[in-house]
Amino acid sequence: MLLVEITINAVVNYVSAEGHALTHNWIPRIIDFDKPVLSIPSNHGGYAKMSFGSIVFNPLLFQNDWPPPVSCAIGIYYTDTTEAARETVFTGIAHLNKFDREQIVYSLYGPSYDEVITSTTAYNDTLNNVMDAILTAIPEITSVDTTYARAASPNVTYTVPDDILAIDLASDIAEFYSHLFYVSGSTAYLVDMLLDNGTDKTLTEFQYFAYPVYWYNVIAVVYASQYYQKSAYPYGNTMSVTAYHTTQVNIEAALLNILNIENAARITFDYPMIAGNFPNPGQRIDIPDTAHVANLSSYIRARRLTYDFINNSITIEGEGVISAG
Amino acid sequence: MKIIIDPTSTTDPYDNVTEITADSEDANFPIENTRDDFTTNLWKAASGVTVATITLVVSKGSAVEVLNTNATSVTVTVGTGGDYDPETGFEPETGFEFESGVAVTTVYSLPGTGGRLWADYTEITYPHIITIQLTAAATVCAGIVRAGNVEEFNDPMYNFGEDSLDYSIERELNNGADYFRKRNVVRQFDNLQMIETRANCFTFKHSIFDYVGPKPLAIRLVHNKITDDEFILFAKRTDSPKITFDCGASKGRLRFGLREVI
Repeated sequence: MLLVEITINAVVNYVSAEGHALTHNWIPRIIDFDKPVLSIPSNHGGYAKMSFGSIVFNPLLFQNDWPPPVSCAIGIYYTDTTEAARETVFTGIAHLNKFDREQIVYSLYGPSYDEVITSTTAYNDTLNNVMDAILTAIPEITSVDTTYARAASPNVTYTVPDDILAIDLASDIAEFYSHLFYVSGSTAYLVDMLLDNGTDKTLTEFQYFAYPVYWYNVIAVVYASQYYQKSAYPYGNTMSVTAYHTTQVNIEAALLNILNIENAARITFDYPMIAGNFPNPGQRIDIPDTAHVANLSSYIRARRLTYDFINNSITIEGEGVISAG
Repeated sequence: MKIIIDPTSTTDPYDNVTEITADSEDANFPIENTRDDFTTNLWKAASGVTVATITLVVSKGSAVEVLNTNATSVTVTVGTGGDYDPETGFEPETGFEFESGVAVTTVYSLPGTGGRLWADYTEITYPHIITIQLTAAATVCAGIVRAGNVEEFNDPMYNFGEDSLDYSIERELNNGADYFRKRNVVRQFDNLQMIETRANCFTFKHSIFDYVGPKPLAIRLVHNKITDDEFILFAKRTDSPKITFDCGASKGRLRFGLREVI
């Protein structure tokens, strides 16, 4: 159940797509809701950020507040059972995009981090420590959890050439060292792209929809200035990245990880949106698949999650391993 | 076919209820919810209250409809108010008399989920009071209440159909099994036809359905030969009714469809 609290002229309104009589009366006033997407900036890591589109309301929601206000505080939640058990999907601002006689369209804007790391700031420390230094400079982030970061945290040697947003610098450095991070509450979670984040989840064929798609990218070579790593696929694409180290061996080690992740098998599949089916980025998910000429047994680590609250499904994409089952 | 509507009313929802109260109410589910156009937007009694009474003041009328209630028993009492006993030494002026206030009470049994109640009573052409006592197994609730003037027509001719609009989600799982998530199902009635006097055809089309447009109305689709609760609806027209004058000079043929609302 999609539940939305929208504050219209200082009054909280409880609305939903279908109408749910829970503790509050979540009246049906949502016509459509773009699928939020939690994704990282590249296949090899970075800041896992939720992006939102628009939410479309029935004009009846605003019949006593006409015309609709330009901006409203909004909270979006999901629950399978009770209002008390709801999970927060999004809190932020809904800004009026457009309206006509049939629908009111609001664009959604989440929190933004505007702290800046100034030029000439120099880093020469482990990735874990550098990420901690950068991210905790953002007041909304008070700690960095490195439980699932790489055991031997790689060294970062880098001097910031120009002023840059802290969140962007953190994302770029994590990406180069094949890590992702996401923010939950006031904690940033740093996760190695080569490791599983938390407990694995194994699905049966009763638990996901037909038909998963198995696919590949092909990268021939990854460059970082004069350094590079080549794959076994010379016909593939070329990729360039920015190095966050000055030593060849460190840079080439990072490039090799990037190359392997970029060329790994990828799987995309849908499964039902129910409690327990909201994986964290990096969580490993195993799926059997007996619908082919021979059975498959595969896994991916969740990298891109698309939430369809209207049709109650989640699309998961990630890289992993495809094996005969 | 009966429809609760006062074609002379200019006030939404175009019935004759002038006041509605409930003796128990959850603040998040007020009794006013029964007066909108959404059957699933509920009035609920306070948590744990399984017997509650809705009181209506109705300017005139002969029927009341309650929809989407979890009540298993409903007692409808229709009267003109309290009894008046003049104090000693007083009596009404010549030509006036005190209203007796005698109430008529009828008890109905309902299924306990998605209950539909249509209660007819002898027409009263002046303001009167209807009390609806609902008894349920859990906190009592209801989605729609309408009462007042009834516009009556012939029942639809045989050969009309009922199907459903199912909003459930259905998908194929990877092994071919079925996944579904049950959602609301609403009924649709099509091929509805009736032969009516020309005046009734105009009332039906012009004064009722063209007047309210897609607004849902309290309807008892069939009431003469069949009294099943299944024909108690809160429905909107699917398309505007069409009159065909193919039945002689004094009559016309009405064709229309209805769809329940959520």
